[in-house]
Amino acid sequence: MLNCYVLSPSILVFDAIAGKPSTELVDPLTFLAIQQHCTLSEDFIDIVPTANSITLYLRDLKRREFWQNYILEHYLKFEYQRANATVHHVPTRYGGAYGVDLTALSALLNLSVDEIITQHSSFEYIVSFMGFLPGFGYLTGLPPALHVPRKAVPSTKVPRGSVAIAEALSAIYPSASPGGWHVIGQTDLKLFELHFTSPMPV
Amino acid sequence: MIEVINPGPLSTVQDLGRFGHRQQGIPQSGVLDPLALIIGNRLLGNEDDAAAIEITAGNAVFRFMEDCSFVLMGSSLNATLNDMPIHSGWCMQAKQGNVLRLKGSQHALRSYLCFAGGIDVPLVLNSRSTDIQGQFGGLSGKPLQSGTVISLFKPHQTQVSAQGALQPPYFNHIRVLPGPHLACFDEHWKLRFTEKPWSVQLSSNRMGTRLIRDDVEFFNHNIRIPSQAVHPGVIQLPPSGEAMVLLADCQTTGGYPIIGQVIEADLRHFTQLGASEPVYFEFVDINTATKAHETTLFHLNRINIAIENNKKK
Repeated sequence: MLNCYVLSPSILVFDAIAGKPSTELVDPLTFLAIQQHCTLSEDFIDIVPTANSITLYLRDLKRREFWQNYILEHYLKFEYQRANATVHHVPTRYGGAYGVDLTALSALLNLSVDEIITQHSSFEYIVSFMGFLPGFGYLTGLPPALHVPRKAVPSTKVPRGSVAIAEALSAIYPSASPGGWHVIGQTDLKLFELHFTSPMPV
Repeated sequence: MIEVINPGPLSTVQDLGRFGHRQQGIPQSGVLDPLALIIGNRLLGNEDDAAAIEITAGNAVFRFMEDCSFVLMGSSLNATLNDMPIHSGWCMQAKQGNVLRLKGSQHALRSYLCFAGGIDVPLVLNSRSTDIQGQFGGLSGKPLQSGTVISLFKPHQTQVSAQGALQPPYFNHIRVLPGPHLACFDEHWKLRFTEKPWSVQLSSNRMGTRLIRDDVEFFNHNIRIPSQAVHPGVIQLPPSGEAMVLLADCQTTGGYPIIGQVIEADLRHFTQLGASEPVYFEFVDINTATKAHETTLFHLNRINIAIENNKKK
């Protein structure tokens, strides 16, 4: 069931959970399909999908009602066209100074440090959506044993390249930033460079 | 060219913002008060989105290395041109060697220094705005430094009329549309939220205005929501209950409950709200937001007509 609300006269949100408190992740493909469909139109300044919502920023608020009705009526017929996805290998140094939260996480998850590393590095992740920072991808596919709430007290500075987990997601910090995710390792892979033809490799 | 003698606490090159890249996590950036920039640019015969300098708090000094028409918008921050006081909203002619000094004001926080022609910095992802966090755009992604020299584009008009325009006043009464997670709280909560003013915290910046109240414990919560798109004007409520109004440099997604959205016409007021200023909220409906937006457009149209009439003289 897709809900829709108007956040401001030119901002429309379609949401799978209608603002109810929840951390459950719904299939993001619905929203990626809506995104692909809306990208074909000139009506939008920006289109931002997340795991269970999509926010549409309209150029002209007079088009709001049209899109509200159109998407609610047709979204089930939209099909996500899976592009030829590229697989990126992310060389990661786990633990110690590179993953400052790994020891605490081991106690929290009741798993040994080695088990966490093995689990985290043996699955393929999908960039489900981008946000938070330029180049910050929300990666789905984290094994359930590693699902963990965000840190109670966010760090004031998470270093660039930090590999971190929170909830059902993993991510890499493309630049230094405050952050509430558990840092388990670090990579030298660059995620955001302006001279890339597309600013991001992912 | 313009030489920065002293940038003050924070001066950055900004235009109307960087659009079309939110889905890649790239913030909007841009001036906190788009209306001020648009009016300033129109007075000078520039395009609406020509880049200007956003000056924070004052203690800033600039030297004109060439003759140049300029206008200060937002607050003048008690500015002087060669020690003569100048007002915001009026086109001025600076001569080569003139010094513009913005002292600062107890009642305002930001000024916009717009030049005829606009600031010549490269477009990065279709905008000249400085992304301070991402370190790109503007002048090599950095705030202005002492000694920085800024180049200007050639003005469209050889002679800029001696003209000015009224900016709509700044208020601290903010109209807000209900956000999706306001439903997590009851009617009493909503009343408490709006019955007393919030106070701006010193830690506020271009990413957001952080607010606090002496009864902030009442607004503590442990509601968790999945990340969704956020943008300037969104009012987030972190678990601490310290409400935060997101501004131009905010991130593109966020996982704190969204209790409201500041209407577009009122968001510019946060440009001038410094530490410990009181902020009053009022929940309104979508029609109020749309009408307020139309009032802004009407104001801009009247300025256009006046500028065109001045040209004919």
